[in-house]
Amino acid sequence: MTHFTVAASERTFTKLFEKVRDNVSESTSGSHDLGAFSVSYNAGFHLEGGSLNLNNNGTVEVSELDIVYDPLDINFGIDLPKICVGGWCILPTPWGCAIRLPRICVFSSNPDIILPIDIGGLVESEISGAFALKLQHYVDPARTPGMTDLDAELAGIPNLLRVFLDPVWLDIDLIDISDTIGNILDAAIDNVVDGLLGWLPRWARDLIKAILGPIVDLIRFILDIGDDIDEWLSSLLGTSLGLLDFALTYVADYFAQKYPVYWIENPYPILEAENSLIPVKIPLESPNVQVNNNEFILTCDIGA
Amino acid sequence: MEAKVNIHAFSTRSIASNGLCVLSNVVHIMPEEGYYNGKIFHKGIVVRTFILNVSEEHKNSQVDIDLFSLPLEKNFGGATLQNNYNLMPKGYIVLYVSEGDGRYSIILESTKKRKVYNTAEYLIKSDLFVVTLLRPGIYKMIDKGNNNEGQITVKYPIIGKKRFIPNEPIKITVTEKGFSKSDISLNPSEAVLFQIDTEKSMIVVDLLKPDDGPKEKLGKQYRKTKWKNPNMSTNVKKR
Repeated sequence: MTHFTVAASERTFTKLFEKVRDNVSESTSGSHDLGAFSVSYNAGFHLEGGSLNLNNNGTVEVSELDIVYDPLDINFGIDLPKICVGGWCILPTPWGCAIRLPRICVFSSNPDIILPIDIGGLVESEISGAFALKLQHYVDPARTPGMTDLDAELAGIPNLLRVFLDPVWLDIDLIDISDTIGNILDAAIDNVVDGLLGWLPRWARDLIKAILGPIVDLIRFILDIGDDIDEWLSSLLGTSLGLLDFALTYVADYFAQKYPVYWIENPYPILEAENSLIPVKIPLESPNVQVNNNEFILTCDIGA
Repeated sequence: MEAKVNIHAFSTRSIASNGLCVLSNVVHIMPEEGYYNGKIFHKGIVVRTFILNVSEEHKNSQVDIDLFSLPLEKNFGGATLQNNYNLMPKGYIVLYVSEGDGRYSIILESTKKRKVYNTAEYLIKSDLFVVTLLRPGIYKMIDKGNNNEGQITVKYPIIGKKRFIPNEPIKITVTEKGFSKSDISLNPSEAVLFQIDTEKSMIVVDLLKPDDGPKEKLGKQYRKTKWKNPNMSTNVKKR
């Protein structure tokens, strides 16, 4: 039996992996009502970096593969509290208030104010994981049942033997939130409130701001940011918006099904068509793929 | 996104007991049982009516009457069921204006026509008149019923590290001799409560001098530097 073998060093296989990695690009959008506020988002991401190791146990280990979110536009819908005057008890008695003045509301935001923040490129998460190699015999959907291998070759749609990275396990962590996000959020709050009240005379704006208190603190309170903006954003992106799960699932599907790390034609061309001669191709049978510490190896039997 | 602002609350410069607005209230005690026909006037024209039933049968010690938002009068002379109020004797009616440009007043007539209460004329003994002041500045308070005056200063708002919470209203007793406090100072959005202790009183609070706060910082200030050529003679005009 004659064999066909393709081998690639770890370094070469890393180059193959990087080509797959660089093609990853996806976007998503959505909105959620989180009770005290609502949030809508438009997010895209791509992959960068990462290191790769081939293991003797037949897996390919990837570590520190960065997911860079860009764009990452988030719009918060916030209901500022109404500002009302009056409501005082002007005749208190031992049994309660005998006369209470009505409250007159002099300011309300209707509908909610929208607070947009653009933090694209300022948030990164990191994927680590192990992948098994998975072989797939691929027939192009454009190939009709009546086509011979030669017809398919001439039509540019030969069958392929494809190798995918099938995830064994994957971890995702939000690893980097830029320190500037707090400042971006604060500036956005100031802009929105000044825009909302901009048409009022300055004394009226100052009065509303005095009654509302420091607006930045107020909105941070409404958004439930607390002391640690990293923790808040991590929870928002990961738990509330499900963005990390989305990225993880997409990356897993992408490597496992969408983009092979390596492929060859099957039957494999050994001589190109020339003049009136048809190409010479050999069928590859019983394919097997494996890795060890040093290299990636694809072996096949050459059929008749 | 838009802000809903009760614009009249921010633009009012004069508040008077004979023309109620969003920044003023009148509280009036109803000592006796009876049916009262109420007429609400806006700029001197009847716009709404209501019936006030004061009876031992009722437990309400206070009714709030919004002179702006009662259903509009369609058939003058016939109050609708919606505009009926029930009150216990010695209870209070609290008149207020939730929106609009103000100048509201009411007339209350007992069905026996023996007594008439008209806020467009004078407040009477035991009435309360409450004025909430938003606009910073110096105000003159006048009792036109007794020709007495005083001054109110509303400070400019300070945007602090905490939310500003207005203090309780400042109480001023109004007698024939004058105001119990004739020069007071308060923060914006705080109130002055005039306790009427005279047979007739008409309180007017007018903005005399608005306070627009510290001047806003301009952009970069450039200092002019003048250079003179020492070799050039200077022409000095002499008279």
